[in-house]
Amino acid sequence: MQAAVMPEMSEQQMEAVVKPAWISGEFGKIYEEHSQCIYYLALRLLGDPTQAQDATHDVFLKAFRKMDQFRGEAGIRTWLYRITINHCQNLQGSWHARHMFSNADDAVWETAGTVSDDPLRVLETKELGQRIQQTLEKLSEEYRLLLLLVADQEMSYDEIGKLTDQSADAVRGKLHRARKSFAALFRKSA
Amino acid sequence: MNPEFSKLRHEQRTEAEQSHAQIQSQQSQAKANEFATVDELLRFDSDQNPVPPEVAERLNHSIAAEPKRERSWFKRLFRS
Repeated sequence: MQAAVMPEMSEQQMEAVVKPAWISGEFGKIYEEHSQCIYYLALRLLGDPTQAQDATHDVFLKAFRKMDQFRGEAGIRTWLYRITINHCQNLQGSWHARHMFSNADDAVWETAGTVSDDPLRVLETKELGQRIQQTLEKLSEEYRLLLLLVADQEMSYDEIGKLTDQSADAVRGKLHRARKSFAALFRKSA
Repeated sequence: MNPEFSKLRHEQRTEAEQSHAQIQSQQSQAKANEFATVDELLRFDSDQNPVPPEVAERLNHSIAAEPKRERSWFKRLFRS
């Protein structure tokens, strides 16, 4: 029996087989550059890795479909974050998620007596994710979102302000309180 | 070899192994991660949670199933 002769493939063709066209194209670059921050935001907003995977997939598919509507007024990351926030809020289906103003979080550190500025210590990295998730869930939607957005070093207060419909100064003030609340709750959870 | 001597050496080795394991455990417990800020803690957490490769695979199938977009009459006319 004659063996089937495989036509020789160039390196470029081989790569095309392994990597689908969109990965090596412009959209692939966008995915590679921004998928981590989108996944992480979805993970901590939804609190479930499977839902976060679905959300990341859906966000990038929406972005792919609406790519021609992207006007470049905001950065692409800001645009993707906006899609993610809307998507996660729709999933949670909460009215409060869309009207996320609360001062209740401030009570946590205001009544906590002396608020320590000591570093946050974590012994077990394995349980770190759970502790962070539980702490974030105790904060208001707004504080949670602000903390997650500012953890992304590429996001300025101004961009976060645009995303959350407020001034950069308001973001700065709220972030100060959000960090204090988070730190107080996180220490308590140890 | 004297069986008593062999037994003693075995017990000594086991004890040494146990204490070594204990020290290692204590060391790993004492090796705490410290984060100066909440932002730093969250960045570390983000690094611990990379996007699973399944997402790109699923996206690949979804994008392949997308209908090809028709080019606008303007683009078709000018082949840009």
